[in-house]
Amino acid sequence: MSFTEILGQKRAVEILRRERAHDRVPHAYLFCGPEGVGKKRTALALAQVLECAAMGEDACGSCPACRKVAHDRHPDVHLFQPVARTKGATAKIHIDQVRELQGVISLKAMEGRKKIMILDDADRMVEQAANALLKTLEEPPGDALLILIAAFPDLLPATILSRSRKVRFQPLSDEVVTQVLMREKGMEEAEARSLARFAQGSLSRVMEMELDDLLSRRERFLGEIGRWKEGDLSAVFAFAEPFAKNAGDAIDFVTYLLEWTRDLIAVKLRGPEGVLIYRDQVPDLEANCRGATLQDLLDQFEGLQKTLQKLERNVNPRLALEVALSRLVA
Amino acid sequence: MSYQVLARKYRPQTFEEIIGQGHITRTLQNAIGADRIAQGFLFSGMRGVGKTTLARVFAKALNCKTGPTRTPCNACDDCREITEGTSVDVIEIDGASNTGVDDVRELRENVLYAPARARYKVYIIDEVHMLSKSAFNALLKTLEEPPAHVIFIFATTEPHKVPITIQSRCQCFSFRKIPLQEVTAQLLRLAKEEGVQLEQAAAQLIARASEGSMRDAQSLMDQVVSFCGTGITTAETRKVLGLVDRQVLDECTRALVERDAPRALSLVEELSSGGHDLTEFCKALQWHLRNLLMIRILEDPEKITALSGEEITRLKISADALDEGRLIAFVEHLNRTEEALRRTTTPRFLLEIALVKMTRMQPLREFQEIAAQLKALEQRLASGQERTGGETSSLSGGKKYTSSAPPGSRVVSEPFPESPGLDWEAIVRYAQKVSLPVGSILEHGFLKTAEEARIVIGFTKQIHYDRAREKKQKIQEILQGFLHREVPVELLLHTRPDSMPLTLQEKKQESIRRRKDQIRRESLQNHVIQEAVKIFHGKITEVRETS
Repeated sequence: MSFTEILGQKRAVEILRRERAHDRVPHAYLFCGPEGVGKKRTALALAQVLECAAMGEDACGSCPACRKVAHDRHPDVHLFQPVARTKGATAKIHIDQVRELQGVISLKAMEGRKKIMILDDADRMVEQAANALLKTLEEPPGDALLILIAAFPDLLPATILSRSRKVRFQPLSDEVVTQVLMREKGMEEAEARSLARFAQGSLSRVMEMELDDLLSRRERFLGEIGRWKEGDLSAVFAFAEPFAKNAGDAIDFVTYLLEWTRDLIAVKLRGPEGVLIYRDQVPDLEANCRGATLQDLLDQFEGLQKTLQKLERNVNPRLALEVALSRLVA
Repeated sequence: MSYQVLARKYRPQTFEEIIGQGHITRTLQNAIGADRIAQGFLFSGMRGVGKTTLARVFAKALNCKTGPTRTPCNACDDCREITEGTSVDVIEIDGASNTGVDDVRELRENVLYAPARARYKVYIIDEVHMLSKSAFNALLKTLEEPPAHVIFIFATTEPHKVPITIQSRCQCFSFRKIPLQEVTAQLLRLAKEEGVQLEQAAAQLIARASEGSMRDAQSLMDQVVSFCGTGITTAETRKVLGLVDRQVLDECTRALVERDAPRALSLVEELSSGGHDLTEFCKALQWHLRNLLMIRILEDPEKITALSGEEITRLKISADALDEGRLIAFVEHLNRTEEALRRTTTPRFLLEIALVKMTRMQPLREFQEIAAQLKALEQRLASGQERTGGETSSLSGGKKYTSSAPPGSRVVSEPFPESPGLDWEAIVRYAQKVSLPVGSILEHGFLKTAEEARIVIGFTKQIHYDRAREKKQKIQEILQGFLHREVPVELLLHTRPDSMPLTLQEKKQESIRRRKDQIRRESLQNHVIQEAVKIFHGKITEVRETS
């Protein structure tokens, strides 16, 4: 991983390059930006550049140091990630992880030039952990660098934010997502382009998806919804049943409904076609929004938004879906 | 030493360098001068305003070779060691990492030993709010009567988490937010030191974004310097800070004024594909609309909005296109949206819909207007039925007392003459405000007779009548206060004739009953519930309203 391999984050990478070139690398970075846009990749790239034996503008990728970082084997580059303490609990970064970090950071670098601590999903630090990090984050010993990664930086305490240098990452353009899909998954351009629209700027959203799969799922969903409109409530409950086990699918489904509702609103308002996600289904959209008033649609959107939030906070997916959908049908 | 961020490089080393906390530095310096140094201090205040810094400077002032002194020399061994953090007699403890009672026990043992070299042993405990309850308690005795050579300085951003028993044993100092001008001035000074060209307006932008925290300002300035090099312009600063262009805000405001939802949607599309932070945009729009509101309602908005006269003239046009009610609703709506944006995975949709909703918001109507309408409606309903609730008068009461109700709306009921022009409900409400017990007794009463010379209050139940008699004096006083004159009050136990108005209590129960009926009816008709009944072969036994 080197800087040149990071796509769609020109600004962020340029800032990092310049800071290194002018010897202005701080002791603490905060990389923030949406999920799946390359924050962690960039952090690893920076680690590689800083440890690279060639000491060039970018990492050489072939020296032992570069290879070790790439394979997560470098003794001076440490990655901390949230862990779930009990089965089913939300993964968090805990205070003992921060204590471990403090232990590691106080030692001299073994073979590299800097000790680099990467905290992935730092916004999932528990309160005690965040507080325990403060002193270290302000004045780490020696030549240490802490890189905090957060999709929701506002969830971090202000005391953490104030001690780190923020680097903002942007959502990826559809163009970049298309490119990556073509390069990494060997997709045809047209296919990649269609899939990219669903990414909403986040590569991780579509990386694991197949277009056919996605479209057929969308179609099935649409068919389902069509049937419910006739007031078939038992179908709704039957549909929600399998989601009891899989919150991921439930989130996927509600996200789809949300996208669809949002497009309906845009169509209803005669918004520009360019903003639509389902821009190849305009006739469908138009047919669908004829029966509803704008207020209905706005209410529907709000209901779905709330359901999505609940699902992301681990409520029982089946119950959440049943409630949301019966409201939709009624 | 290699590169250091501004906040570390320019950490103040003397009292004079600490900005914006004159009330504290002066107090501490005077304490040293008068040799009246307390043994425990609690420094509280938001992040980056100088708590830890002052703790260190104070430690130096105490332990300096020339001291205790108002001006530490920063040259002697003790001063230098404190600056470097290697002094054996100034112990800085991370309260958030050493939270347990065992850590405090260890500290208590060490406190007993005399300082190795310096005059005092200074314990600086940072983030002290994270200590556990038992740790705090273990500290109490030591903190109250420490050995003469020991001084404790606690620093925290959350003083409310520090037990009151700790606070009362310390001299507490609360640090202020640093004023905008002082932050700006300091940034310009730093820029000069660093050999960086910094525009005044750019410095102001950074200062505003830092919300009164010097460390935030310095971190932001670092960020800007990294991006711009040695010449910092306002335009680039905006970009680095993720601030939104004025034009975008203006255009968005126009879309709201003209209720142009498609334009709002295109705008979000542009922002989003341009890689803008949508939360920042939401915040900026909120400020912008808030400024418009201030311009509308204030005679002299310059001070509160911190905008130039020129800008205010420019914004006045937008401000005049919107009414106050809508502006307030906008700001509130954006406030909620901002909160939601922080946690959502689909920020773009959220912002889009928020803006669409805002284009549809109707001007808020005055509460009095709505209340008046409701009143009118109530009267129409009442006059349609047999009962009139006594003509309503204004809350101030008294004045309309003698005038009879407007003709046509009153049904004269026998055998009791109606109470003309006296609003019983208003009286009870007034009574509740003055004295809740009396108010709740009156809730069970009704106004039987209201004449110039006397007022008769009837009760239908013995118990209420008895309680009212006990409080008769008080009732008299309250009525006097309401009517602004003296009227003799009589109490009566009497069955209420149908023609008399209901007591408030009865009204309340009546409306609850009606509401219950309605909910029951509605829910029985709801087809989801019907379906559910069918699926589960159930029957409905009770309908209850939740929250």
